[in-house]
Amino acid sequence: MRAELIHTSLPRGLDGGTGFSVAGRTGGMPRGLAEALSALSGLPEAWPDAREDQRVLHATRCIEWQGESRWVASVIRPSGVDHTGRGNRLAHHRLIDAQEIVRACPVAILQDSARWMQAWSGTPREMESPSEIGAMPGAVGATHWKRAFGDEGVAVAALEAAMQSGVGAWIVVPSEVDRLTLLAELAATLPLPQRWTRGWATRALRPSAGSMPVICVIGAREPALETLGDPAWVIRADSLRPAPRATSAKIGVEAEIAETRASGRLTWQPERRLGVGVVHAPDAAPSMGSMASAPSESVPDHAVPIAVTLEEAPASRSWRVLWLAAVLGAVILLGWFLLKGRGA
Amino acid sequence: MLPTAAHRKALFQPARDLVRRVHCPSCWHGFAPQESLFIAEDPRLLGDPVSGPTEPIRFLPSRFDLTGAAIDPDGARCTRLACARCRQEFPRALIEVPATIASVVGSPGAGKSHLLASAIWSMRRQGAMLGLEVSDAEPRMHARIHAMENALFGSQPEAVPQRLAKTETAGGDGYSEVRVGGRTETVPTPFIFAVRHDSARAEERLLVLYDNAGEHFLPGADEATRPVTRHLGRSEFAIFVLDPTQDDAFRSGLGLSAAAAGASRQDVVLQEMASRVRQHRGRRTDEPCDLPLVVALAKADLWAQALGISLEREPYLPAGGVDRQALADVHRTLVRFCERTAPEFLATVRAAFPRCLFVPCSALGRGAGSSRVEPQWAAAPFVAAWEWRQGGHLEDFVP
Ligand SMILES: Nc1nc2c(ncn2[C@@H]2O[C@H](COP(=O)(O)OP(=O)(O)OP(=O)(O)O)[C@@H](O)[C@H]2O)c(=O)[nH]1
Ligand SMILES: [Mg+2]
Ligand SMILES: [Zn+2]
Repeated sequence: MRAELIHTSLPRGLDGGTGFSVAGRTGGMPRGLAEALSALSGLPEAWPDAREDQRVLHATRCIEWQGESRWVASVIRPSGVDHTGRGNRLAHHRLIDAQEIVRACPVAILQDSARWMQAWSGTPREMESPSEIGAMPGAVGATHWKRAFGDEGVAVAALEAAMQSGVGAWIVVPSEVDRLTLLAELAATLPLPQRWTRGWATRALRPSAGSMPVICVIGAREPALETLGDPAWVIRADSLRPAPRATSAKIGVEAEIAETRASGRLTWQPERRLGVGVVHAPDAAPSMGSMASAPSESVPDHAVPIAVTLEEAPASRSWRVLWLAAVLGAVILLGWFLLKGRGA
Repeated sequence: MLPTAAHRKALFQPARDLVRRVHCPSCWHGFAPQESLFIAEDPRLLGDPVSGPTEPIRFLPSRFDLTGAAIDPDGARCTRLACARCRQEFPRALIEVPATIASVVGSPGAGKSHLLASAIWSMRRQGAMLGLEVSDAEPRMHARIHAMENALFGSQPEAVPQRLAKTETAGGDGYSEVRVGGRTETVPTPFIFAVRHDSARAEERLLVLYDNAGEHFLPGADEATRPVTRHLGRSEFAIFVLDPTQDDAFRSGLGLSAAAAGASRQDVVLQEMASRVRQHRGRRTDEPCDLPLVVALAKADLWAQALGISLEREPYLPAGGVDRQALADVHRTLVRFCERTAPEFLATVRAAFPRCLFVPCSALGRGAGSSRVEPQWAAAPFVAAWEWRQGGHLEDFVP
């Protein structure tokens, strides 16, 4: 199904309501699907003095709808002020169908500016089906990466690190560079089918549980970076060493790496070392032993004191062993002296 | 070396009292404090099946150190807590101090976000005057409200009026997506403050607030997969932000021209709110809602003068604390104005919320037309509602 949806702030939306609402959608789109697309429309806060073009979110994401996975390409951009005088944004979403996936690069679709609405005008309305997406092989080479980091191999290194993280990645680049072009060159490092095994984005998106990992190329001043520590899935492009084979092999056909990835051999698995006897049901918290958790309803009616020392820290355990050894030693010595004294 | 004094002391630490039951500030699920999950600190323990693949694992600990911190599977000390259901992090204070959840409701553009930011900013600064001390329960988790306060009150290089953006309905840092029971749910990020009366032996209490998008309160927006306004089922008081400048009846009463297109029916939003309050508390549809409601008439800088209301003196006593008389006087003036201009609205409010108080407020205040923001009465709806709730200093107040 080829369909699109526009979501922005209006005095009155297509389905009623005021404020952020559906401005246009392909005729016949089921309501549930329209709601799922509308929920992708948020534009994250950017750094305070970000230019409009720096705030744009280009993204391809995989959503689940009626038990099926659907690819959605979106461009969400600031768009003037709304009827309340506040900054508005325009979200344009396009469902990508199975035939289009076979022939088009996801990031090339995002780069095709003629396809994406710049501003909404007129009354809310149902729209025609969007035109079909033809062959779009995507970028060739990594000249923008070379310009930004001195070596095309940084693109390969960044992609390799991002693909190895099973949770997607934020690849941090200077805030001024053109992130969409960097993203396109990054995606083009993979053969076309593998590009659809990840989502791609130009702003910081956090994947939710069970969703497809997204590779985001983000500006170093993204506010979302401020409250994070230094997790492994945040990759600073300027600290990467160019991948060794990058300069020799043609980046666009790094088939071997891609093959390895496709076969899943490089897929990152979160390390879970929860000890013996751990049951890790999908929705249940891993419990690590015996601390019984009373069902909520059976909580006594008085205040519950906190359990301060259920088990001592490992450090204090080693102290205890030392203690025992010393006491034991002293007892043996004493016994020996006593025996010796009596014998004498 | 023998066990240190610190070790010996820790062993005899008195048991800390916990609250009987915690309500998660993100999904409002109720659970016993000992059911709280801990958040792993070891960077390798990444990928939680509910809160997301980039989040550290949440676990129910069986090992603790001498200070009561949990030990994660890799031996790291963990102190951060998460909800047993949606696994969103919450401040530790929530299991130690009782919390009051409050709902701030209003149609899109009514002025909720500006009022919230101005009120919090004022309450932080004017503690002595308000008779309350207000601080972040966990500053690390308040990046969003700090950014809102900075946007309005931070120093600006240019003399451009700083205003807050429209609140997003999904995505961004105001919401998280969690996977509960095989279904993805959007939950809101709460703002949690520690509030203490400034009397010497006063006990601390937490205040939990949300900055919803007005769209969430429109009829039909309350969905099980986006339960972002379900705080209405748990809140101890509510603030309905009413923008008189969005309503033609109020506008004509104030001598203003008709509103521009796109204003939402605020009476419909109020009715929808009352029906959600009843629905999520299992009440009958004709039963009045038993929580106190403060109707905060926003943007008073634009209309207070026309009603002869002066915002120059804030409604607090010289010795600190709320000035009942000032609140009662202004309430009467506003009720008379509503009786004249929008009697149906007043009837709707009174039928649904027998305990209601009308308070004017201006988030931008004297600074409305300029780059400065000088709130007037911005904290008043919050302080009044806080004191008027069950157990507050004004519990017996009849306006
Ligand atoms: N004059 C005046 N304008 C105000 C005041 N407070 C808010 N506004 C304006 O009213 C508009 C809406 O304010 P917001 O705080 O964004 O409204 P909201 O209720 O959060 O709206 P949503 O996020 O769409 O639900 C903005 O353009 C503000 O500049 C005020 O005290 N005085
Ligand atoms: Mg808002
Ligand atoms: Zn929860």
